[in-house]
Order: sequence, then C-alpha cells, then structure tokens
Amino acid sequence: MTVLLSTVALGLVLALVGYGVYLSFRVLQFPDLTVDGSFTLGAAVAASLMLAGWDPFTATAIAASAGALAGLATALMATRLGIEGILAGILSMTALYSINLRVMGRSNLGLVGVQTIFSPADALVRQLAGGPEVVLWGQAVPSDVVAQAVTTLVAVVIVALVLWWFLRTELGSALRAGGDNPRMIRALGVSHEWMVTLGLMLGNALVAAGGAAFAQLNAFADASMGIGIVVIGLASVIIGRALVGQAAALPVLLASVLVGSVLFRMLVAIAIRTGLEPNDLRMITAVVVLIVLVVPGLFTHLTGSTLLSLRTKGGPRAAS
Amino acid sequence: MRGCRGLLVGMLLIAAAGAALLLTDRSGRRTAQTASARRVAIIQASSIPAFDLTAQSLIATLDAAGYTSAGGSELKRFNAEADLGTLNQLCSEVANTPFDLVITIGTTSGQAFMRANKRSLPHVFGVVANPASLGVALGEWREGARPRNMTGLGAQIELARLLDALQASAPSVRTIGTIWNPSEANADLYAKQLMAEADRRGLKVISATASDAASILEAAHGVMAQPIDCLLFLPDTGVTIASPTILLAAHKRKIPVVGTFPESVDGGSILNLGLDWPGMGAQVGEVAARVLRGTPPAEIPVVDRPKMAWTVNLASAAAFGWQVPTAIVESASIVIAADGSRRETRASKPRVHVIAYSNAAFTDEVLAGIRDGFVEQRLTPGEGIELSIVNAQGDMSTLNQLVVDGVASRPALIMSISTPSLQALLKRNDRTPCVFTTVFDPYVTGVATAPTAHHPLFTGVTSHSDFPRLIEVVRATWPSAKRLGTVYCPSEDNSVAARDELAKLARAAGLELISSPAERGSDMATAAEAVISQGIDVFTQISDNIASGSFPVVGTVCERARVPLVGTLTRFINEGAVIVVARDYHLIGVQGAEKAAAILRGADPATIPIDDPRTSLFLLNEGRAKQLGVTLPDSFERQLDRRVP
Repeated sequence: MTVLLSTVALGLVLALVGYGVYLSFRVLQFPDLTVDGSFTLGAAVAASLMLAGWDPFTATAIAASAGALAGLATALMATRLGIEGILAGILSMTALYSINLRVMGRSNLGLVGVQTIFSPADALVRQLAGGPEVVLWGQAVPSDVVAQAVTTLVAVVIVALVLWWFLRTELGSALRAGGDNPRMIRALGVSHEWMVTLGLMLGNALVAAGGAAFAQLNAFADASMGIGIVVIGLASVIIGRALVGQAAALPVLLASVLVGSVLFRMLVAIAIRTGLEPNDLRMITAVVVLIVLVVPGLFTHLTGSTLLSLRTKGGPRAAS
Repeated sequence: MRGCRGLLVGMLLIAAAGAALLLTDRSGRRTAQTASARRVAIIQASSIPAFDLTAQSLIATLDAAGYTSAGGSELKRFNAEADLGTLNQLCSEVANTPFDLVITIGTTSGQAFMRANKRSLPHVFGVVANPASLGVALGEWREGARPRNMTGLGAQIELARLLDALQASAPSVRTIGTIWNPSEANADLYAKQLMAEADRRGLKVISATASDAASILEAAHGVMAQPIDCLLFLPDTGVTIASPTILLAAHKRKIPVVGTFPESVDGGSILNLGLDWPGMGAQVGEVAARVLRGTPPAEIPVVDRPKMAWTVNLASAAAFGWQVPTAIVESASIVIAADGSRRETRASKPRVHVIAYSNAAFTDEVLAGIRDGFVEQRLTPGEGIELSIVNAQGDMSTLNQLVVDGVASRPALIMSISTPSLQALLKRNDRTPCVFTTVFDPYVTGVATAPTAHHPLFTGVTSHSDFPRLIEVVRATWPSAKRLGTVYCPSEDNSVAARDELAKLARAAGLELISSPAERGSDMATAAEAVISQGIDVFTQISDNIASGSFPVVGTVCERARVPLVGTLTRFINEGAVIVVARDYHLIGVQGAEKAAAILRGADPATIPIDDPRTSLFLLNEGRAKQLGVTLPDSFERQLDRRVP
C-alpha cells in the first residue's frame, strides 16, 4: 500500500510537468525544451527558500513564478528575437543550468527535517490516525505517505480544473487557437506572440511547481534532477492521448494527462516489482509503455470504435 | 463526452496496476530464512564505473562473509539508470520490502532512500564524498547527528596529499588548471576544496566548468590555452570519461598532468592519487557484514577514510624535469618507469598479521577499529601496510596452529584479539613484536607485572571494564542500594579477575557484591536466580565468555524479579540492561593500531606502556528505565553517550 500511494503521489507531481508540456507541446505546438531547466529551477528556488526559513507554500509559489520567468525568457527569444523555438528552449535550458547552481549555491541541497507543503496534511493525518501510521486495508502506511498522496491529488485536480476554466475563457480560447492556426488568430487581431509568451510562462510555471513539489517529496534538490524530465512529461501526455484519442473533449484531455502520468509511474513500479535485472529497467519500462500505447488501439479496434491512438495523426484535430 | 471511454480504460488500467502492486506487496511478509540468511538490497542511481566497481566488490565481500545465495541470502541490485523518478520509485519499493539491510551507492541514491525509508530499515551508504549531504555527520553516533539506522563510509579524496606530492615533485609549479562539472555534487565539492587548498599554499588555479561530456574537451582546451604549469584532474564523472583525449591534448601542448584517476598513468599523467573503487566496495561490504551480524548501525562510526592508490609515470616526470618523491614511487600500485616499462608493484609494505580467537561480536568492532586506527596513522591497509587477518573461530587447537603459522610467516608485527590469542602468542612467539587487544587483565597472563614492566616484544590495550565509573553510576542512581550481584565463570581467569575487582571496588564504596558461578550458558539462569534470591538491589553483570552469550537469560530473570540490571557490553543495552557502562571496542582497536604504528615506525615495544581504553560508553535504555522507575541524576544524564528507546 505504501508503494502504491508513493507511486500515485509521484505520478501526480509529475502530472504537473505533464500539464506544462501539454500547454507548450500540444496547445501551442511549441517544442519547449526549457522544461528540463525550469523543473530544476523550481526545485532549486523552493529548496533554497525553505532552507532559508521561508514557508513552504510561499516558497513553492515563488518557485512557480521563477518558472514563469524562465518561460518568459524563452518566449522573448522566440517571438521578439526571431530565434527558432527549439533553439530558444535549448538556450534557456543551458542558461538555467548555471542559474540553478547560483540559486542553490551548490549542486545539491538536502531538505531532511524541513517543513514542506506536505507537513500540514501529515500533521492532520497523524491526528486523525492517532499516530505516525494509518491502517489501510489491513496494512500500516506511514502518515506522510498518505498525506503526500492526498495533497498531490487535491493540488493536481485543482490545477486541472483551473486549467479547464482558463482554456475555456476568451483568453484561453485564443491561446488554443494560436497553437492551432496562428494565421487565423492574427487575422482576428490577436497577438500570436503574446499568446506564445503567456502559454510558455504558464507551462513553465507548472513545471517549476512540479519541480518544487518533487524536491519536497524527495527531500532534496539536485542540479541534475531535470535532465530528461521533458520526456517524462511527454510520456504522460502521449499515454493519456493514446487512451482518449485525438478528438477527445477538453476536460477529458486534461484528465488524460493526469491519468497518463499516474499510469506511467504505475507501470514503472510494476516493472521494478517484477525483479528484473537492474540494467534492463529502462528497456522493460519502454516495452511496458509501448504495450500501453498499443492496447487502447487494439481495444477500440476490437470494439469497432474509432481508432484511439496517435496513429490517427491525420484524423480530426483535438479539442486543443 | 468524447474520449470518456478511453479515460475509463486508463482508470481501469490504473486500478489493475494498483491491484497488481497490492497483491504482490511483500511488506510485512517474510519468507522462512535460516538464521544467517539475509535479504540485502543494493541501490545505485546510475551506471558509472565508480558505482559498478564498488557494487561488484561489495557483493564479493558479502559473499566472502557468508551472505551468499547458497546460504539462503538474497542480494538484490537496483539501478535507476540516471532517472530520479525511477530512483524514487525504486527506493519506495525497497523500503516497503522486508530487506534486512539496504546499501546505497552514491549521494543521490542515499538521499532518495533516506526519504523513502519510513520503516527505518538498516541503511549503509557508500561513495558519498560528503556524508553531511545526507544529514549524516562523520564520527561516532550522537543524538541528532544521524539517524540511528544509518551508517556508512565517506569517499573523500585527500587533495592535500596530491598537492603535497605535486609541490614536492615540482616546486616551480605556481598555476594549476582544472575542469569540472558543477552539477556533480562531488566534483563541485572537490573544486571548492582545491581552490581553498591552493589558496592556502599560494598557488593559482585557472578553472573552467563543463556541463556535459561534449563541452568538457572545449573547457579543457580553454584552460590549457592559458599559462598553466600543470593540469589537475578532479574527481568528476565526465572528466574521467574524457581524460584520455584531454591527456593527448595536454601532451601536444607540453603540459604536465596530475590527477585523481589512477588509470590515467598509462596516458602520461605523472602523479595520480585515486580512490580504489574495489577497495571502497570491500570496506562498504565489511560495514554491511557487521550490520548483518547484528551490530546496530548507530554503533558503527561513519568514517571518511577511503582506500587510496598512487600511480606514477616516471617517464612523463622525467620529460618535464619533475622529481617524484621516492616514498610515493615505492608505495605506488602502478609505476611507469623512465624507460617506459610498466610495472604493477606490490611495494614492500610492512605486513601486520591479526590473530583473533573467536567470532564474538566485539571481534568485528575491534577489527574495524584496527583498520580505522591504521588509516588515522596514515598506514591505510593495502596502501601503507598489508593487513592479514585470521580467526580461530573459537577453536583452541586451530588457534595454536594459526599462531605457529603466523609467527613463521615473519610479519612485521602481530596483533591479537582476546586473551587466548595473547596467551598462545606468549608461548610461541620470541621474535616478532606483538600488540594485544581485548584482554581484560593482561597481568594474570604473565605478559606483564605493571603497565611499563612487560615482555619486551609485547605491549597492548586492555579491555578492562570501567568498574569505577560503573560503581559511581550505581551509587548515584540507586543511593539506597546495599547489595550488588553478578554471575561469573570460575574457569575463566578474566571472569574471576573481573568479579574480584568489582567486589573490591564495591566494598570500597560501601557495597557488597553477591556472586554465583556458572560454568556453561545453561547454568546462567540458575546462577542468576541464586544471586537474586539473596536479596540484591542491583544486578551488575560482568562480561566474560559465558555472560557474553547468555546475557538475555540474566535479563529475563531480572525482569521477572523487577531487579535493575546493569551491563558492561554495549549490546547488553538491548538485551535487558537498563544501564550499560561499557568499553568501546572500536576505540580499543584504534588504540591498538596507534601502538602498532609506533612500532612499525621504529619504536621499541618494550618502551610502549600497556594502556586501558581511553574512555567508556554510558548507555541508558529508556523503556526499561521507565518500567523500573529509574531516574538518572542530572549530572549523569548529561554524560550519557546514547539513549535506547
């Protein structure tokens, strides 16, 4: 049970990265590699502030703001300086490497014994359970694990709902339209550049918040923790998309990112549980994810429904 | 709503995956194991040579210690392959599986497992340059300095030694160039150390940082283009990989190279002081074996003395006019001679032969202390000395054979652990200096009549119990106590001597000692009950070979009679004692190594006095104290070395 809840909490934290990647890669159609740096930036800022005695919620909020600034830098390079989007992301990511080291003062900050965003929920769970462990289905689970799972679930659901609301507003609709058809929204008098800037700021703020939460979940921040995180975010988005199909409604798409992220971590947990050779872990994980990508397609094929997989690239466009 | 069915499928998959995880959850379930069968998890964050070599060597060490699959033990390796999310999950999985011990290799895996380890599984860490990053201070366990379930080894390379050698070899060197990756926690730490150490010596450092393997070569060229007198390789994963190419570039630019990668000697690096990864693995394996044998991690000090190896390229040194000190050349594991020939030297290091009598719990602690003591004396086993260890496993005839063989093999020095080993040596050794340890009363063995009047070849450290302190604690804690009790073994000289001494000190303090004999462990309960039946106030059990193995029986008898039990071995605190005043066997080993080092450096053993251990440990079992209503006076409370819940 502890492993299950820890895995869910991790999947939910990484769903924040999934939402960030969803905004840039899917909504804006912008290949934003800033994510690798902004994830670490979030962790670095939050950890440094918390060690300096700041309240963890304020520290996490400031970390998300720092991520938004990183997104702003990428957007300015791409929209004002005319730099190719992918290159702008690489430049930001490269600069963030040094910035993160500057922020932390060294390459690794431990958060053992520091109050985190999970601490209040932990205290509440302890109070309700009358001790440091909660008995769930006959198994004793540490209270902080329960607190982490509950806190991340509530936080990520709130983020998803806020995103849903935002993307349905006039501004959010313009953002989605900007990704779908820049010429059209320009013709409608909306600044595409401003939409890209807003989207990247929002996306990287979510990623940085994910980094801050990840550092608090792990009790340390490390300068190399963001390497390859964009791939994990993409995996969440792609698994979710493979499940619900390209033409799914917006709330379903948003929920699919969350489901995709949790499912991905579950599959990794099962791969670990199988007791495979240590060096085979990544290969097995890739195979398991491949199976998940194929199964929904087979499922819909067998039930006669529309093929719900990425193979329908030429099919109807997503609600994004 | 469009896509809802797919979302439902996703949720069903999550539910199925969750069910699979729950159904296969092994936490709390334990398969039948033999007494020595253990489940050990080894976690590493990625596959780099340092981690892989360490892991292989520690597995070999655990194998040699008897923790093999053939013996029913399970050694399971986990590798996150550089993905922190996966590392997090690996750690949760391991923390929720009933492993007897978890070994982490590297800083990040140590940190990740610490977070996941909610059940406080015993945790041994290795290859952590800065244990403080794990919230773990070096040295003995102190309240708050580290979690009770953790111990391990730091992996700090002594850059000062490398700079000493560099300056001795090439006094004209004023400017050093270096490259490192600041996102590598260890590399960053070493870079800062190098800056500070160079500054202290008036050397200038020109450095460049490189964030990935691709930019390391560019950074190296950037540094070498500046006016540096030599290039220094810091411990850094990326630089390790790129070092052959950098060495070629340095060679073309006629820049001498020194560093921390022993293997670079073949590429022309002149002086290399590096970690011996297999040696580090063996050290971690030894600590792990101690924990598996039952020593609580809190009782094993965290040390930062990795096994190091010098390699020297005299051909390159000659090309640059450097004069490498002879001492370093002689101790180097690999030397490239001036004519280019390569020889892997086993430099003639003095050999110290250790003879232990049994596998008693204290033997491991003394051995660890001896190793640590030699490292403190800059005679690291394998580097400054060769250390050979034999153990008679409690068999007296084997002990005699081991002593005969040991003396005949002509080591530079022999060390003994426990009284029987000393006695056997006394009989058969007439030429080799000996340092004994863990002998309660050396004077009854005939080796000495006084600390400074002893056999000219023998000196050592006793394990004499700190009875004065024990009596002091008893008097302060139970002011109304009049009668103390103990069980002793009449056929064991040490036991009789201990009983007599305790009786004498008790008498001087106005107390009476009631004692009862026990020749075997099976007599222990009867003897303890006999003592209690005489109306004692406090049971003060001395430590001898019988009590050492049967102490829990005394604990049970005292608990039943509600008589407070005071012990004289540290592990007694978990076996029924409310207070323990014990000798620190690790320190006894360290003190023994200090005497041995002095003899190896030329001191005459006849002039080195026999010592008692410098300090004793004072422990309190809070649970037992509460049960018995025992309260320590404030002044004694402050002296406590450890509280056991």
